Amino acid sequence: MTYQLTAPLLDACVLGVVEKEDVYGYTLTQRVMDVVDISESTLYPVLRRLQKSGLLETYDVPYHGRNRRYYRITPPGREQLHYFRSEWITYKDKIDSLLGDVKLITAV
Amino acid sequence: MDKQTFLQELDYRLRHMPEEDKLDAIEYYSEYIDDLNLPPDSDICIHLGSPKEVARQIISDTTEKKIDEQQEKKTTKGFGSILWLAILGIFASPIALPLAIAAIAIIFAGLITVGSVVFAFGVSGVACVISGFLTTIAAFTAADFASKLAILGSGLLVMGLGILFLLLTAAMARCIVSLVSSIIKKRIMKNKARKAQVA
Repeated sequence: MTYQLTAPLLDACVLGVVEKEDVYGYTLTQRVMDVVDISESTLYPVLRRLQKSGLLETYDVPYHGRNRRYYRITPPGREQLHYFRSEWITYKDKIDSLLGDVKLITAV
Repeated sequence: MDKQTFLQELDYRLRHMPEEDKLDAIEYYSEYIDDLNLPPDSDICIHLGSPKEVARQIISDTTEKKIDEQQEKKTTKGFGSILWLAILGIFASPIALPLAIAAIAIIFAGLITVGSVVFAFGVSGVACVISGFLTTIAAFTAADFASKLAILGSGLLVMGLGILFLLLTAAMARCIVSLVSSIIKKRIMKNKARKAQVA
């Protein structure tokens, strides 16, 4: 990928995935890795940070004699995601205005 | 590396973190490794990187967060713990501890050497200016016109050299300060870029 993913954007992506459904570390990582270029150990610090700032919460579910820690979005997390989304749209529009008509290029 | 060795080493690398943070990380990775569902005898590091790298990511993220909080609050509170975490960050980095200490010692020695040279230039300059000035005055007490002129000339010459020395000192000092600050700035930028890149 040519463009780099910044830390806030990664936070936003994680919140976006967790909002859709509760996930555990492995599936979350795989889902994000399918789309963007991150390593398998990138997301733990992100999850921990989001959890500590109260945007995500965790609960354990027994699975084959061990626990699986699921992450769930909290109301402040939803608010933050909402903010991230509006920021993304603003950013995207601004970049588009400099880049020119993106759709035109993909059509050619 | 198998699961047990990996987690043991991770535990060791995170030994200076708060207990709660360390346990959380260990649990997460224990679970993650189980979820990877690897055949026995396969190397976990291929997926996750070495425990050292994983630990470094966790520690550096904690450090960054602390610094961010610090910048928001704009207080000096918690500076001790930032310093502590920064030192941890250095120790967890790929450079071995003795190498890190040696590197710091060399940089320190270099700074002192360069500083001494600049200082010596400055002192020589001041000495030249003073002795040149005194010689110039002393010239008037000389016996005949020719020696007066000769002594006066050499006095002025030494004074001029002294002034050149002082100018040179100032230029060197400025050069070194800007060099050091640009190196530090570059390092910070590089770190930021690396963090931003995430992967």
